[in-house]
Amino acid sequence: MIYSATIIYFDEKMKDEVVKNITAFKSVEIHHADYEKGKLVITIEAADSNEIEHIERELLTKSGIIDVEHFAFHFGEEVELMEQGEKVPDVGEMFKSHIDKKNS
Amino acid sequence: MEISRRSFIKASLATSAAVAAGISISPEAKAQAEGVAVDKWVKGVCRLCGTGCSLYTGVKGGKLVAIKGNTDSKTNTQGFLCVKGANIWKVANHPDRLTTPLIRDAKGKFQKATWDQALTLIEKKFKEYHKKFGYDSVAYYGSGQCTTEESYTFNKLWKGGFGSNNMDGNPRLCMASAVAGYLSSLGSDEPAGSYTDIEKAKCVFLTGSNLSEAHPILFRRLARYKKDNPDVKIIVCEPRKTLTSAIADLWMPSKPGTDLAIFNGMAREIIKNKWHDEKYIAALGRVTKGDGSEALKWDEYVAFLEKFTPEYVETTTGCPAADIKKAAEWFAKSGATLSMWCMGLNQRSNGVWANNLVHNLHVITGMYGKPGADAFSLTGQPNACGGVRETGSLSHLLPGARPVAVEPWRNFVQKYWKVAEYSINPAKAINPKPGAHAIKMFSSIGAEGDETKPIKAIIISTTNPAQTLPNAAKYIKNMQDAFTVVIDIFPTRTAQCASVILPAAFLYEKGGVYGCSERRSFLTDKAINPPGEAKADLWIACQIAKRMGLGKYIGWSNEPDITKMAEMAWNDYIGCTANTEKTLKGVTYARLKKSTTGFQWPCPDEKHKGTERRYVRGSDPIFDDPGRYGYNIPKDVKEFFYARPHGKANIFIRDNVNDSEKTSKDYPFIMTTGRVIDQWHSGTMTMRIPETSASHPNSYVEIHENDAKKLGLKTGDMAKVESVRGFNILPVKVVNQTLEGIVFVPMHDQKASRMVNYVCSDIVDPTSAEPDYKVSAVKITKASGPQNVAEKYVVTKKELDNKIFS
Repeated sequence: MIYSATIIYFDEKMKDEVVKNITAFKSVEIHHADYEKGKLVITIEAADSNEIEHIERELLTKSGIIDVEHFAFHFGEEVELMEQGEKVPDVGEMFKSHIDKKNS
Repeated sequence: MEISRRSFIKASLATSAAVAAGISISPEAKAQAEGVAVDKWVKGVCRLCGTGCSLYTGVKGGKLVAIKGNTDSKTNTQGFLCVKGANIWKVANHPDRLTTPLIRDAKGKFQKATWDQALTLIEKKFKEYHKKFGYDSVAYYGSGQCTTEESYTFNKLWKGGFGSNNMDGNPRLCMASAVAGYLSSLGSDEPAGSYTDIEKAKCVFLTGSNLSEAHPILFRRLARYKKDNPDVKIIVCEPRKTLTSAIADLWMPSKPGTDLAIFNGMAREIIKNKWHDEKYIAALGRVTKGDGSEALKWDEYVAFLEKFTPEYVETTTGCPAADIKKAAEWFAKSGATLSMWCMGLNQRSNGVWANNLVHNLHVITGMYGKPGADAFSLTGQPNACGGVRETGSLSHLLPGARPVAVEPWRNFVQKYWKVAEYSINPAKAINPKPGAHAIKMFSSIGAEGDETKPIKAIIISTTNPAQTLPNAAKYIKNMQDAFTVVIDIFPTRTAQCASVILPAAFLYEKGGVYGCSERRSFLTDKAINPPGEAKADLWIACQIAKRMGLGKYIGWSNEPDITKMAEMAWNDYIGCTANTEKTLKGVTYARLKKSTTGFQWPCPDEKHKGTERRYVRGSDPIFDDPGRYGYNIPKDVKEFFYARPHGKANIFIRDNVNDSEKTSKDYPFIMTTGRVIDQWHSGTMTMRIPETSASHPNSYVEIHENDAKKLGLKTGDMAKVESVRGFNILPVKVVNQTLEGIVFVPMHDQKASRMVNYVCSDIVDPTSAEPDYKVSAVKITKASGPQNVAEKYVVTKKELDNKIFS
């Protein structure tokens, strides 16, 4: 898994809607907030950075969200996978969406 | 992974992000979360573009396991990172890494070797060729990805130690026109301003730069600023309507190679409407032409511009006349205009002139010397500025980016390096004649028995010319015929041509200084050890120096500790350039180690914090003691281009002419090449990262829908893209946001049938010798219907034995 710590800038007048929209993502958690200044720190848990990018794009479509900026990434499990498998894992292929597409 | 550990990792990362975002958190929460995810955080810079984003690599158990932004950063403000940079750790840990020296045997197969065996062979060949063919028969070709300490060491070794200027680097292929543009217009290389001008500008003129894909963090920085300041005007001038145009108020299309007419047309419109700054021009401008030696009158410039009416420019360039008028007004009347450009201007047969004309616009409107106003050339590589331009590691330069032909400076460097005492060349002097530039160098290398090829051996470090040189087929055989030593971390097309391959350490495995586009030098600390027997280029340079009898000359060659070795090289470098305007004398290694922001030159002493803006009294320390740097600045001037006679910047009369390849009945399309966001350079690293290679697994040809219709092409079809030099077979991508008659091909694919430089023109700018990648005449024909070419192709270790590219 890859974890990102990401900062969301939002319209503070739409706080409730923004929080509701963010918490609808199962792999996203809100950790810190400055509601007066319209800033949230979330973490995204994903199989790879493509999924993180996908979630980023989804978040940007939600009303009230102005910008999504990544700050930090942790990928310790992937390092272990690479060392065990002697190859760079394309873990995106383990995704349900990918498997569904393959099986369809 | 246990839930608790996962939660701790996320809490730790989130805490760092909260600090970055300025969100207050309790000291207890901070203490609890910090340090759980990694053993240590090590500061450094990203190396996947020229922005110079600073970051921390997280190390656990001797491995890179995390990356986070640096909140103190002045480049990627607030520490934001792009997803491409976040994947860089996969390069360090990749199983394709080269981990042992390799020597090609008589049968053409690579055999594992010890360092001693490889270095002994290099020593033997170099000494043999020096003796038999002269000191210019052994060349070096470096990179804007080597550290400053490495480039400086190789430069000192070649130009002083061997007495040969056959020492060039890949910034020749991307930045040389910008260098010559700054030198001829302003007298000194590199921008006057800083990235901070982005947030101070009232108008941003992006020309020849797809910022959104080539410099994504700077693009986000600009996009955020535009979002908060919708009145700021953004103008984008380029042939393709890329994602960069999404934030623009105006997209000015231009046929590749013709934008000089646009710049002259804007200048004409500015002067015609009296939007120019007469006082600024009188004090700081000087009209000239040709090589800049002859001073001309203002009226001659005005008369020259007369033909560039908006209507004439529209006919010549494809840019609507109304857009030229609007752009001219916004540019001149904004109060603070920032121009930024990249390879779209530089990689041209008239690249230096294009640079000159952007500077013209700034001089006539007084758009230097104040917040938000500058003419800013962006670099494509992380250390093209610091490592190659500033250390003078091009064939015509010496440290301080001053020409080797300038006798007083050459004499100073010669003395500083003690060339007369140590050089192995009987001339005991630096050659006053510039060496071979990249294209000339690779035209001139070849086999021992080939009398037409004077260069017999070459070291190629951290770059991949067999894939990146235009008209590549012409030069690949030369590399195969010569004694070619390749230093790299992965197998590449160039490594396939090598006689010896030396495994290199990655940036985070050795540390060193990188200097980015805004004159900022930043130290990356060593975080982990390199794999196997891989070694830092600096160590390799030192071993060669010792074996060639130059151990004492390269005074750090016997130092066993790589960090200490780098510090010694750095100290030698900043001593050499201490009395130039590029001085980093105040930037000691101790300061670099402590600093989380780096330093912008000029930085003349240890109390100086670095310079945000040049040429302005009160900001630029050169004004405080100009005599020390060989300049004369009147005491009553506030702004002064001190590297130019009388402090006046040149306003060049440059016509819209070029030597670029022209379209014809047989080759009716103009092909232009460039980057995509997911990939970088020849894909050596990024094509090995699953996420980025999945997003861009192969090259393609982008073509306008009207042209596609005429040719019977649909998206996915395979097309033959052919020039007089060679061809590619590429999948078609039909678009409507470009000009008709122009096709675009990304430059990253390694597959032989899709290596676009087989097709590209190798015409060079006559001043900078930078190739014209942006203008090649091609024909397009349908090759077949759709085929699956999403191969994510990379050269394998096994393929190194085969000199034929598959």
